[in-house]
Amino acid sequence: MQKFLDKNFILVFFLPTAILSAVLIIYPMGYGIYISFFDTNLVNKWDFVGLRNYISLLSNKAFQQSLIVNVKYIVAVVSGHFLLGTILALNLNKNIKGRTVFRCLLMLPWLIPEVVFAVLFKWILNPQYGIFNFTLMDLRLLDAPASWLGDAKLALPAVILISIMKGYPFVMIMVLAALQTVPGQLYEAAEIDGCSSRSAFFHITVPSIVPILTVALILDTVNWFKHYTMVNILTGGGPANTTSLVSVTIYKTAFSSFKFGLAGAMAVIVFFICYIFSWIYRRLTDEKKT
Amino acid sequence: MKKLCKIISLLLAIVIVTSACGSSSSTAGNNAASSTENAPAVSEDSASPKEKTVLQIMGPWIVESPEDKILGGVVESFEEAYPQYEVELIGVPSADVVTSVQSMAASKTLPDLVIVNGANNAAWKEMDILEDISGSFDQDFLDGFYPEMLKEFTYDGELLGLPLCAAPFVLILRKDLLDEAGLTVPESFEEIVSVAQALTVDKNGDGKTDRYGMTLMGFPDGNNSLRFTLALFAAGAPDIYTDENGKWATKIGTPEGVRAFKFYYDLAITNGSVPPGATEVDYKTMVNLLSTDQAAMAISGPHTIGTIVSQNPDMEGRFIAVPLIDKETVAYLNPYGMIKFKDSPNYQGAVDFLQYASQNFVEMTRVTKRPPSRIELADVAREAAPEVAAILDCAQYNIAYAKAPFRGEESNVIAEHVNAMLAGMFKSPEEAAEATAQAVQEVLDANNN
Amino acid sequence: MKRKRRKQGQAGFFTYLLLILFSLAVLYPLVWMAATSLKTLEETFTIPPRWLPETLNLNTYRDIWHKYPMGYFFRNSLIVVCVTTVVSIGVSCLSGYAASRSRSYFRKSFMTFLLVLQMFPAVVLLVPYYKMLTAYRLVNTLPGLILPNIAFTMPFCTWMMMGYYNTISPELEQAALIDGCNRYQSYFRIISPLVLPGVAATAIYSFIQVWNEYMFSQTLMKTETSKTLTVGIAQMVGEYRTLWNDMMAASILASLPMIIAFIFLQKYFISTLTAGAIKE
Repeated sequence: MQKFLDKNFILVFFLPTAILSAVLIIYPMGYGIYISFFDTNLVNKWDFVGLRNYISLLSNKAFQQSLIVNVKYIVAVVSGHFLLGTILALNLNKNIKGRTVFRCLLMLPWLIPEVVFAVLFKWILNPQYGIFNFTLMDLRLLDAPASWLGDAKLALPAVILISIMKGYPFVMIMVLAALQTVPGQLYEAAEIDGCSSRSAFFHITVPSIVPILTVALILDTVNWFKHYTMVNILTGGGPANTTSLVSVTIYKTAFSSFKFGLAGAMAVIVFFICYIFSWIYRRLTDEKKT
Repeated sequence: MKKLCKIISLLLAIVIVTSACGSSSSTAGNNAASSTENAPAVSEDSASPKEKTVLQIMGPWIVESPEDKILGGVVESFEEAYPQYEVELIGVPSADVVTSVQSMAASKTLPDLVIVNGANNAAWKEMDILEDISGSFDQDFLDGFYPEMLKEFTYDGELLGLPLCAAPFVLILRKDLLDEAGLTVPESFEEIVSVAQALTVDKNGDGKTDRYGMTLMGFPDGNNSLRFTLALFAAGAPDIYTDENGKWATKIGTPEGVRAFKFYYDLAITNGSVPPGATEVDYKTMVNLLSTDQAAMAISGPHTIGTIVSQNPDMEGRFIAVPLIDKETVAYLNPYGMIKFKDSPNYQGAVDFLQYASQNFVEMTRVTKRPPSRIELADVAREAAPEVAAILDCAQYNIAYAKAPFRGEESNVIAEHVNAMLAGMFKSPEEAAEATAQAVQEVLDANNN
Repeated sequence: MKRKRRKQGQAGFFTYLLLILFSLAVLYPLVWMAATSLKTLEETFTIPPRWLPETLNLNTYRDIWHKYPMGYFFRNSLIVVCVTTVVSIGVSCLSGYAASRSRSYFRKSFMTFLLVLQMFPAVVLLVPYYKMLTAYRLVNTLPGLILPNIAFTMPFCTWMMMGYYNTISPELEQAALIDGCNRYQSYFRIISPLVLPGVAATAIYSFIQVWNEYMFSQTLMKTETSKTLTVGIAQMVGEYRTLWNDMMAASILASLPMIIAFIFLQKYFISTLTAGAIKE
């Protein structure tokens, strides 16, 4: 018995996760996939339609636009998280006075519930009585109040910036933890050997944190891809559907139009697109690892 | 490892302490929403809790202030009058009501009653979760309602619930500003546009407009589409109606429909009589704009005036409510009440509550200025708020807002197009009207077979 | 110009500038939030908006405990968060290790699959979860809410732990095995203490994800006393008006436990640069 456990320790270690996943993730997802083949309102209408939902999505402009908006959103937001998070983490790792204070301050946006953050910003950015416009006008950076969330050109950038601010602490904390695992002796040794600090950065720091960065990148992308709450509160998907993320569209399809089958099909398509991207991404990074 | 254990034990300690504090502070002062749930009824009734049937009522008023106290008061007096019942209130914000009903319907755990307007009746009837309750009431009792309000709670000849009060849409405006400017109450879209222009002023001469003539709701949600639909009806172009063949049709694309689009377009884009950022304006923002004297008119109702005044008591008596007039004189009563679900656990209890509540809802009128649904309460209402009186007279102008199961989808389409127009996506109101008509027609076609 | 060779890790002017600038940017909305919580309701609507309240109003912080069942909200959130985190971390430490050390392609695929499952828009999962939990009478109960939360945090935690395990060289286990330990002993005695910073980061992540979760908490919890903090605060955004001061005060209170937890756990990130986390 002991030998079996020893040989298959990987299996044993995986078991709890596998069981929990099967029950808590795969079953509900299976249900979602199942209903995508029906035209249903989940209560009394269950018409089997096969692939019709999927085919109709090929010509559904609203869905396609949502996908495009989502891609723009995710690329901008994740890049923002990464740049900001990494830069801040690198700086926080240094010997500075008040390090704890800075760390806690810069973590704060993440600790606040999304609903609160969104409502707060909706208020701050309001053209008539939001403090942001007044601050900008006082600083002479702006002449007239701008409608940050209501202007078709400004809404998506505004939502993206708010999302970046909300989520960068995650990357920051991951990188910070990774930097802590780099032994100080390595840097000392490098200095003794005559490396410049820039060279040390690229040859010691970066390789040590790349595994974590990779994981963080994937997790961040997955997390923000299906984002719903803040965007729904800030703009409701408008103006003119410029901030209509996929989740917003799916939510409306499911709970306003009561077309759960179609919503299920949308979800499955989103799932497949993500799967393909992550597969591509993993192929690229796996090759880099060697 | 040891440190981790310390942290976990610290957290557990916090949990225990907070729950101890929480229970004591909550049971001490928490009267608003949860007082009637699970605790035995207020009266010194000797009936044991086991003998009481529990009525479940779900809805947004339970988590809105001051509606929660008013509803709580009605529930308390109901429990006194009918000691065999105990009411459990489930608070669900209005944006989440449909989602909650959906989930509960799918798992067959619906409550007895839900607080809602009549918008979802058709869709829910199609889902077969509603039933006809007209048989449980006397005809006299039913005749005591404003027929227009009662009709909103019927579908296909079946009575599905009872209205309790109305949240009407008409035109509200600042009478004081009108008088000051020497203008009369506008009676056509053109007049509204010119009045709005006249009332858009720079009060302190600093080059920036301080007050705008009108505020339009541009945020893409249901409130937006309801208001615009009222404008469509005023222009004589109903968004959905049944034609001679019994099929769904729309008049949005007609010249009358274009009038409504032009109305919004002129206000917002041509004349700039609307505060910038109209696409962001939802109900709450609109109320803020009106109560802080930044806008003078809006399509809304006396309940809005009530909220404005409570936010800014200076505004008392300055707003009036008049029907929206263009080619037609229109108002939309938009009654709110409770719908009873089919196969609800307590049929009789629900029916009793409906009857009791509709007759005892005057407090709602008094506090929130929502007109009552029963004719007998009209005088009390008039005394409570003169703005309400005007609305009761408008009942005759109530629009024939079509009952369609796909109402949610169509409402989204309209809201999104109005939002797009206000965002400047269309070059002209004609273009906007055409795009909207096309989109709505698609929805109608899908449902016409 | 002579360039002073700065020691790695020494903070320069630009470091401080950067940190201060960003701290200010972060503080801008948060100070507004705090200022609002100290205003009376009428004051929150003044035009033009003012930063400082005219009259300092501390009553809000006291009143919200009476107006809303804040104690219950806190308790519910804390229970859900703690249980979910403990379970998720426990499970993910094991599976993260297995994923890191596994050579099998199947395992790697499974990990990717697990993760991509998270990309499935949660909206569509609301109803199946509701049905599932109704069948077991778990709706409106805390265990019923804990289950989907575990479902959402566990894959992420596994991935995060895998990332941390990847930074530990397999040679350590080899050394342990040679010394006579079996796999389990080498894991529990040698490897696991080394990933404590990772555990701390993952724990924080899990705390925050669950603490801020809204969609499922709103759908599954119906009675006021069983709702979580996020739902309770979101309810202050009414259909007709928002009670800004209540909401901001409640939000600040709601953020405090997370801030405290972070302050405690972030000690695990502190290591002076002279002493590494791994002693050679």
